Amino acid sequence: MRRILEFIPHLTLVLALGLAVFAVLDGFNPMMEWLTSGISKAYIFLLCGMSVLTSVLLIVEQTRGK
Amino acid sequence: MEGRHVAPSGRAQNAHRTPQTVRRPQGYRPRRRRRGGAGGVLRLVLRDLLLLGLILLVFAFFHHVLPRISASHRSAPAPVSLVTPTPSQAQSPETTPGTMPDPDPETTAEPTAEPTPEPTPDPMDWKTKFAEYFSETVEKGEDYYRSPDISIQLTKVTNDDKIPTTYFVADIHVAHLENFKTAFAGDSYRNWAAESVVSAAKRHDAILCMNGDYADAQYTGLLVRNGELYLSEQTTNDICVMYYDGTVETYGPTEYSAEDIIARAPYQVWKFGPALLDAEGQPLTQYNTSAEISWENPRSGFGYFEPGHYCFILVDGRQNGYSRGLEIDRFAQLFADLGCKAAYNMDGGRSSVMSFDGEVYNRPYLSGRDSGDFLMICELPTEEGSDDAQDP
Repeated sequence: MRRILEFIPHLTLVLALGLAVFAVLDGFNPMMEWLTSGISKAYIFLLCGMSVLTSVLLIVEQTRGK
Repeated sequence: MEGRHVAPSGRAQNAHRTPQTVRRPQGYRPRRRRRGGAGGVLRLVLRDLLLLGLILLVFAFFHHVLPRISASHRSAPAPVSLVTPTPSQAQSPETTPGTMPDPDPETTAEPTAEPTPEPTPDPMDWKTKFAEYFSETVEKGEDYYRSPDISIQLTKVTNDDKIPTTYFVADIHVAHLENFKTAFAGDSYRNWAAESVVSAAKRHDAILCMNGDYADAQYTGLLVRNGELYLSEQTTNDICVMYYDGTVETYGPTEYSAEDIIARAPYQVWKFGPALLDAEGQPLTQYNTSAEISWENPRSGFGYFEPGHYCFILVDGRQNGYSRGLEIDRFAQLFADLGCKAAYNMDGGRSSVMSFDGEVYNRPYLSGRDSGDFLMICELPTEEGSDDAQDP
């Protein structure tokens, strides 16, 4: 469980970097629908979920630390 | 001395050391071993980068590979023939640029009565209208082609500014709408094929051929080619529509409905863009595209003067000392300066290739690349199947 919790911030970071890559590619070739295709929308949704989870974990840890 | 442990020295003595015999000073806390230090951070970064690569690969699989696999198993969207391109139908519409049509397809498909009682020249008689451009026999040179049905005049323009730009203008007059046609690579949509402009031109005996909007790479939108409907969805791109009366109109994403366009039975619909000119034939102030695409680039574009009179403009680029390419607004200005009423940007960059008489006419960036679809000027096929110029 602890390993999974440790892995979550990394996954969020990597997903965010991936989205940045798609945003750059979309600038050069928007016709490829890097940000607007179904899979892209699912990706963004996943990133949102992971961001929320990471934030919650961080807040919990900060609260315990106090 | 009793009770005091003398710490032995040497490897052999260490072998006899037991944890019980080691005395540590009061308050001693063993130092926590750091997890690899800088090496550990590097390992962490590498692991994350690997994960990023893995995620990008998975994304690419679902974004590119899987749709292609499923498309190859699934039959491509069967094209729906919107209207049979006969001269009588081609002569029918009384379309006015900028006005939306009657959405009833039956009314648009049927020829309408001529509203003016006076005998006016047939607007679809392009052969008479542009007679001065055509010739009785086929005449061709390095930069021109003339036949009873087609006139093409190519002009190479080089701007010797600080930033050199070279572009090619093909001024096109056709006697029949069918002299202007489009083709997919491999002659079928969604076969994911790509073909060189020259190869496609030779296969169709096209006199002039230019890359199109790479419709294969776009999964959605409104797509009509040579009167056949392939996709009928609204898109966020500007579209360019050529109707059977030879008129060309461009629309922003909120300026049309796919149903209305289909009801007018268009001959061609392109969905790359952006549109370059406004209703008055002036360059737009804002373009429906990204900043990166608006930068200096090799470009291919299609311009409309009047029914039967069109132009292709191809701008070479990304080649220092020869041509850097054009920004989208300067590209639009070219069409406006020529007097076009509508103009539309096609796929550019390395895709920008134009062929004339079976040879590459421009100097493509990195020798160009294969494209998914093409704009062509061809002679009408003869009854024997040859493509010699003839008067139908």
